[in-house]
Amino acid sequence: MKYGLYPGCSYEGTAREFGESVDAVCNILDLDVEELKDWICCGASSAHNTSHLLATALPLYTLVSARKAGFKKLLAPCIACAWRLKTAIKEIKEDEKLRLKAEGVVGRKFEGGTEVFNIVEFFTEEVGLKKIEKAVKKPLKGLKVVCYYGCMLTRPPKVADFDVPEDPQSVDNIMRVLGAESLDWPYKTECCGVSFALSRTDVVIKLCHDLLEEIKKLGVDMIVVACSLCQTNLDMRQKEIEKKYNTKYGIPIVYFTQLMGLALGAGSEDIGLRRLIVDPSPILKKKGIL
Amino acid sequence: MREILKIDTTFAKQIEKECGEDVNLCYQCKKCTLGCPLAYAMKYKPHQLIRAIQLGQKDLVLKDQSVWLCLSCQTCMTRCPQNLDFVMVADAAKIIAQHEGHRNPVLEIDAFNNSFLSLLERFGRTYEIGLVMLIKLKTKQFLKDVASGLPLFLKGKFSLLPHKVENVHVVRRIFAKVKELESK
Repeated sequence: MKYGLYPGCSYEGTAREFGESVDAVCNILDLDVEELKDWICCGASSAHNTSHLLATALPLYTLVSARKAGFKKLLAPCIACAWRLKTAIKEIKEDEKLRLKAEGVVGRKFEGGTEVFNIVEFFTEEVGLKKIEKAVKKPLKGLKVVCYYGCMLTRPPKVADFDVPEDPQSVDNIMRVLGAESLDWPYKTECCGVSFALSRTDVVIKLCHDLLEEIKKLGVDMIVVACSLCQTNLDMRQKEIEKKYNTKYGIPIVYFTQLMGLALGAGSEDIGLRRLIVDPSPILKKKGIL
Repeated sequence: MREILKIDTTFAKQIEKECGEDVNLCYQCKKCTLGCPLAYAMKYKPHQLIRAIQLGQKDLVLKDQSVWLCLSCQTCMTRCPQNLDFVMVADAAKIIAQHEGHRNPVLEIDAFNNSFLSLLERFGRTYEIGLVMLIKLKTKQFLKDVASGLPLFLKGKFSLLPHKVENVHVVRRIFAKVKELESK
């Protein structure tokens, strides 16, 4: 099966290590994933806050491109992109008026035929846990983690149509297959402040502080994430939060694909481990994983 | 004789036209507000905003910051027993506010959205460093995020130059057409 890749704007920027680790894992698992050439930005929160038509037209262009390029399945690693693309497909299918308007704006006809997958959905439902388990070379034995899903991976359920919105298990299951111990905790799907990172940073600091406080109680080695906004907010702001609340965390925020890479035998350079701000290598070395 | 209270439903209908959601489904159970991560910062909480729309209190909704503080995290709509999508309602209110000439009362969010969209129109993709700079110019908070952003830069997570897509004319056309249609 050939998959199209819609990398999204952060794939080579603030989420570079996410991109590197997704590429590395796909290579190891020998998956046929190819970047869609003429993709454009999905418009993110600024578009859907401003114009419903704009927020539909931008993804429509990319979806038609994917279909033209012959991709029946499109992987969108950025959770926000996956949400916008899936929302556009749903709304275009249900609302003929909107479809016609958006088609007019883009100058292209939407014929469907391309299914969008978020990154966790891709690895659990398309690739399958069995294939991942078979490929494990270096089990993550002794590593204690919590998985943090954030808001958009399973929500809104009518669009995401994936996992259980209030108590998702998909990333935990991947971690268990890799040999790590994944703990249950109550804030799995709380919000980190997403797109307020650069505007209302005070909100992000407060929400991430709440999350880190809860995690501190659990005594885990690291937090596993699947979203680049969750990762950036918790990692980049951690020092600021420690300073503001006069406390200390030092908890690494690692992409699940980076841990997959490690367990599947990728080198730390291939999965961009050095790009994380709170360095996970001391604890990984201590556990004999790195 | 008691006067019968008349409720102006124009605003509720306007919201429904914009996003398809019927606010009259809400019976004020407050589940949305109890799960909302931003309720602490809102003057009017999600269930109160819905009530205000039901009652036609348009100015209260459009002129206050509360609706703009919705992060679209979707907790409310996931839990709503009536399947009312508050995020869609909030987006609709934001869109109507802009159409009717209300300025976004949260300066930083206004700066973020405008900067994001203008860079997207120009390059076809997000330009992260450019976005940070534009927001600084608009909010005049020049030192904000320098200490936190520097490590990202040193770790190669910010590219200095924008990535301009080849088909940027397509993006500009989309923006132009949307503006043309929506100004009618």
